[in-house]
Amino acid sequence: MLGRLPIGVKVFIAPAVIIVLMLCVMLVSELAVWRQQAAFLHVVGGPLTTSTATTRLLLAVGEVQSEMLRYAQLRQRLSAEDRIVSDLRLSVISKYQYVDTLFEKVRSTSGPDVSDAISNISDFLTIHRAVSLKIVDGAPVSSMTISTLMAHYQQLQSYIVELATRSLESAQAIEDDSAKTIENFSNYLRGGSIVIIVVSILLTYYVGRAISQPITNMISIVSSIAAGNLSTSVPGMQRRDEIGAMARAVDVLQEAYRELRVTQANLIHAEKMASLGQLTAGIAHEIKNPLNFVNNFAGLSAELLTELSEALKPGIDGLKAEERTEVEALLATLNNNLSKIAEHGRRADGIVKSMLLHSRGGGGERQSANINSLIEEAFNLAYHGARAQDKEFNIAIERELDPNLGPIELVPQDITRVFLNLFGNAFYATKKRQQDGKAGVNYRPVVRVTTRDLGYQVEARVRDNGVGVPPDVQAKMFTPFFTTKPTGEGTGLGLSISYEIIVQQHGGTMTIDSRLGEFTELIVQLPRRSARAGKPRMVTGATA
Amino acid sequence: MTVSILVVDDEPDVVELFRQRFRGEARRGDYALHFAESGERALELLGKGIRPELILILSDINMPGMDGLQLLHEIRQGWPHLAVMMVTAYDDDERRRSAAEAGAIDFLSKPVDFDYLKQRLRAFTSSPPLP
Repeated sequence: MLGRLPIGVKVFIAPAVIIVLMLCVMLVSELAVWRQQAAFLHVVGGPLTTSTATTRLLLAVGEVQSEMLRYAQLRQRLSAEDRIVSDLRLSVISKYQYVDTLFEKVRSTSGPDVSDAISNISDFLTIHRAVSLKIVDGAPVSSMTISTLMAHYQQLQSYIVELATRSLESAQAIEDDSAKTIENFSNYLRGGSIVIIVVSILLTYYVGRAISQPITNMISIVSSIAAGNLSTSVPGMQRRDEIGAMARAVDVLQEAYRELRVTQANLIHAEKMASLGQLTAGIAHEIKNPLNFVNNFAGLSAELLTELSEALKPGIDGLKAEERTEVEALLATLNNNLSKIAEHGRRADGIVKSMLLHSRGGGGERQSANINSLIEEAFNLAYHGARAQDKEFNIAIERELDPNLGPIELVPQDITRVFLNLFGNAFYATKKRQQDGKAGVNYRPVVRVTTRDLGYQVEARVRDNGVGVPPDVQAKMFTPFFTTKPTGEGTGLGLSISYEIIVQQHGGTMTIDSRLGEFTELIVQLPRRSARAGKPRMVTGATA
Repeated sequence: MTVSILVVDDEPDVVELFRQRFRGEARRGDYALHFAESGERALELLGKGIRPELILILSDINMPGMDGLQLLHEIRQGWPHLAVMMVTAYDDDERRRSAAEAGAIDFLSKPVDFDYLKQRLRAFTSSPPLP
């Protein structure tokens, strides 16, 4: 589920969730405090105030009652006009005003749940006041009157006490409710904190794993690649997060590294071949001078021997028959030996000349030329050469030459030499297959030559349906003096020189593809503009 | 009339080779062969004067001490009318070019084609070459 999210987002998941949970807790506690405050205000402005005011009302009513009783007593002894009596009357009236004020307060603070009690109090307060005011306004005071007043008072008192009790109970109920709320909230908070801690731990672990697991995997993949295991398949390349990007980059690096290794191997091989070529040329130079003397003196000796034979002719003619035969036989053998020395000397000279070609790399003049016409020319030369040696020889050529190749920079005579070698080898391979007899009577030797435009380079392939090249030979075939031909038929220098011309001189590549008993294909790739080339010289018509 | 040829080469067997190749001509008195094993020795012989008349110098290029091309320069300075041919086992375009620029009349690669050399010499004796 987390796989698709970038690590940049992933690292924020756990903190974000924790922050949201914390905010929820804060909100809940804020709500609880607010509710608690409302409950407090409700209690203070409501039942509690009612209860207090009711208590004070009770006291005030009690005071009025006691003054009324005293007034009643005084009225029985003194006249209404007596000063004490009239003062008392005024006090009673003002006390009633105070009682009214208190009752108003009780009424205004009380809730609807005690409205019956309020109305009862109101009724009895009115009755009590009516009786009292009748007395203080001069009505006769009898024991009957006093007992009526007492009865009213007691009734009123009981109602007020009831109201006070009920108000207190109501306040108590609100308080209990509030305490319960606080306790509940406290439990929620505790539970919430535990949930937050657990969620945080799990989330941190899960997200951390989601981040670290692919990185750990990637480290082992990269280590494997670094250890040289270059066919490691990099997992997670299809992912859309940073790991996916990293995996794709690692895959690209692996591919580049693989190519680099191949290039390095090719380079090492090319260097090896170059030093072998230099060595070959160096050896050739050293051998050439003494070989020249051998050939020269062999030729001279043959001439001298002819002169000697002529000079000795009269003497030999005068010898006895068997002596003459022996001398003539000796002279003939000597002559024969000298021609053998000359023949093998010429052979060695041919080898040395081929070896010297190794040192000629870079010596030829680079020109802009069309490789197709060079290939045609080389094929004709090779074909007629082969026909001259063996009249029976025949081969079909299939040309797939790209007419739009355009000119490339090369040393024409050297490239021609390369294709001469390649065609020569192709002819040899088909001839050998024909001589094997395994191919059957329907075997038809074919050489196919293909050229292709590869953009910055040009490719030429020479393919024959001859005997094919076994893999162990493929590994050594570009080495100087390596040959599979019988002694005297090949120097083992053709392909090594060709390789040097293509790779060292022209900065191209030369590779082989072959299946035993089916085909051999030599693939030459030449850059259009060689890095080693100087300024190209455009040549029109014949070579300069 | 006999004319002289000077062969400059550090290989001692060159003496034997030329003597044998030219033994017929020597016998007939066409050419007198002179040999020098180094450029320095060749200049010394030239300084002393060679008799009979010297018509050609054949010089190897690769020699210890003064090489053939240096010798060619020296000869151009002191004996501007003498014909010089360079002979070498190292046949490449650069050596050919520098020999021609320095004024060699020919460039022979080893092994020397004596038939060609004799043919050129006959042309020399019939009409003296221009430097």
